[in-house]
Amino acid sequence: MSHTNTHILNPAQWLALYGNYLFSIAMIKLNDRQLAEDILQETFLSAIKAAPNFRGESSEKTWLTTILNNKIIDQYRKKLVVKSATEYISQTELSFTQSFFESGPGVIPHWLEETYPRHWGTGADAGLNQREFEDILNACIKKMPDKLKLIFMAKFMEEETADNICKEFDLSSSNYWVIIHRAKVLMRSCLEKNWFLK
Amino acid sequence: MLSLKKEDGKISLGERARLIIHLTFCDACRQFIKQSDIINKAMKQLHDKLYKHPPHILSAEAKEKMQQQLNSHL
Repeated sequence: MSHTNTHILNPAQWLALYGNYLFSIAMIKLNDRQLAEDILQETFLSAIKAAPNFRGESSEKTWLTTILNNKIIDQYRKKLVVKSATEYISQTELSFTQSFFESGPGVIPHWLEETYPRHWGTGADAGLNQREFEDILNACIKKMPDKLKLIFMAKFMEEETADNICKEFDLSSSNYWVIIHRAKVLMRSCLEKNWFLK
Repeated sequence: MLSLKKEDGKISLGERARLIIHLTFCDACRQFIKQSDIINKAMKQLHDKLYKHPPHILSAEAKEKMQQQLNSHL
């Protein structure tokens, strides 16, 4: 019982159907047009090679997105001085903690006066001019340190499970929580500064 | 951090108890939780839009080049 998968995959349509979508993901994560184009190209070529192994367990769109995301992760590994998450966290621990939290002997770290979350306006006056809000959200994503950005996107934008993320990024469970926490704190702080308190 | 674990459904009973007690008197952390939720929703919206209204568009030349490359391998 053999049948080809060509009725599930439709490479001739990939660019038309998913081109801009995949390109947008690459642009948000890499912030480099030429690089994003190159990686998209490689993604399509890899996908064609892998097509015979496609078992239809996920949708065509999801499958292509996964290939793209893996290539983006590879790109980050090449670009960054490859540090383990543990090293990264411990090296940046002091500056991060001191920027946001009060701590000391016997004190459970808690918000510093300058950094504790304010009330964000809600309702009509927050207006949330959708377009402007999105611009600021995107700007804050760009500002995030590379190490945190990909994981933040994977979790909150692409809603991947913790297990998958730990596997993809080679994280222990406790590193995962520290990174998620830091990314959230930074994002929240950036949004508050630039949007909600303006 | 405990609040984020709770969001994910990965909080232990003991941690949950500590969190609830802390929140009864900590407005800052209550705000953090509300805002954390706003961020979650905003990111999800961003994702949903990516397919219907992609924020970045391939240039005509790039598209052309890519299609040709694709075609040559089909």
